[in-house]
Amino acid sequence: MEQKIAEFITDLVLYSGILPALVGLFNTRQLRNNQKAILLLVLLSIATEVAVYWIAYNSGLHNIVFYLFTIAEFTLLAYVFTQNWERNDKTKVAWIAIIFFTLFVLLDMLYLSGIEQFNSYSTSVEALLLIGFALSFFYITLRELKIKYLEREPLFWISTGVLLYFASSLFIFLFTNTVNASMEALFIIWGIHGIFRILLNIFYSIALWIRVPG
Amino acid sequence: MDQSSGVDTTLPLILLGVIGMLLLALAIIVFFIVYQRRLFAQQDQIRGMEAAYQKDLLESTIAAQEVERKRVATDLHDGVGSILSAIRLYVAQFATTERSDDFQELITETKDMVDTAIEQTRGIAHNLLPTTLDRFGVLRALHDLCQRIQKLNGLDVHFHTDQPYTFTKQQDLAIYRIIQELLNNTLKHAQASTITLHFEQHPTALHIRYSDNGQGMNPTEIQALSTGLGFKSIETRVNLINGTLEVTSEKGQGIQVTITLPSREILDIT
Repeated sequence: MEQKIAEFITDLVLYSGILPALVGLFNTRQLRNNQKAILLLVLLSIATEVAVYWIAYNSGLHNIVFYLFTIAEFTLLAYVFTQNWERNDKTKVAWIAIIFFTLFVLLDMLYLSGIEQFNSYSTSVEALLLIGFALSFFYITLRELKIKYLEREPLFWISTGVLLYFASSLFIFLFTNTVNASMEALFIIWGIHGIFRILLNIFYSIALWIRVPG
Repeated sequence: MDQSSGVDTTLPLILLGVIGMLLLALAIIVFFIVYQRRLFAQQDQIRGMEAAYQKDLLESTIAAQEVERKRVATDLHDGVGSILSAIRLYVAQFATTERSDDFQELITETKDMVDTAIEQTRGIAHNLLPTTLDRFGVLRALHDLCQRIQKLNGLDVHFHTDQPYTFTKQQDLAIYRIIQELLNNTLKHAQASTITLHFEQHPTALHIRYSDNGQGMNPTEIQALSTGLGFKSIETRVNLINGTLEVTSEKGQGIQVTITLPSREILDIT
């Protein structure tokens, strides 16, 4: 039963990624740089899901695709959030964070979680860093008070989606390798993760739907 | 350890963590939205108050200008105007009066009236803008003004400055008008016998202290004063020179006014 529900949700995650992709592609000309980065992220997400299905179908090591996607996801979201900062050295900070994180993912792949297991450590660190970035958007918004209508700001929807998804999934990322022994538990927690991923895709769709004037 | 029992204990903990983190994230988002709305509401309120204050000041300035124009018009009409009318009548008599002692007297009276008209014209001009202020600055102009008040109204006016400050023309005029207004208030309402005016340099600011030993005011009267035209004009001018104003008074204790002007606003302090 749990397996069927989990499989249904996993399928739904794949289809839910199509929604922001279609919205983004439909609005491509009107998108700002941070929205274009999200569109690219959504397209990469779909490609990753397809690649994982294909590799898993052919009995290959599909976890390597997750490692690569984690690096790409962090790089794009780090770019999106740091571009909102007023600091002069924002690009430098973004690059330092990306390089540090990429090295950590390599460390996780080679020594910590390993290639045969889910990239638990790198996704957990990614979640913590992106929660920090999302909170930085809220802090800057409250300090500067430049955005009056939050619902018209794509970065608000991106930050809200990222905060909800990564905060909720943090414990799943951290302990998923611990509960690998039971398929039943695995289906439950990845089913829950799938719901949050669908929610994230909905928030991305809204962020890509908004047309920012100028 | 049995695998299934390990899962049994881990799964609820993970679910608890997921729910906890989800609630925390939701709380942060709700707090952010509510706080952002509240900050904007506060900002709008402050802007509204500032706009109302500016409108109030503008209305007061316009009203003060009208009062000043009315005063000048009255001075011209009742003073210089009536003297000039009298001079015209006297001059008209020149043609009909024989050149005798009466004629000489007529000429003397006419000359006296011309002198009075000149004197009154100077007075009006001085009230509008003293030449001393333009030539020698506010300190000298205030010194002259204090001396004149002491002479004409019989009050003890003590004026003291610890340094020969130099101000911009705009500051000169603003400070002069502020002190002039304070002196007018004291003369009209305070029934004071002594007025003191001190310019004192403090580490970061110049303090202009004005006080009298008049009947003073209770809090209700201070409130009424702060909404009056004269006080609004003082407030506007203090704002104009980036200063701050503090008024304290008690019944029977006179009034104490301190105008604080940041040192960086002053052209020269020796």
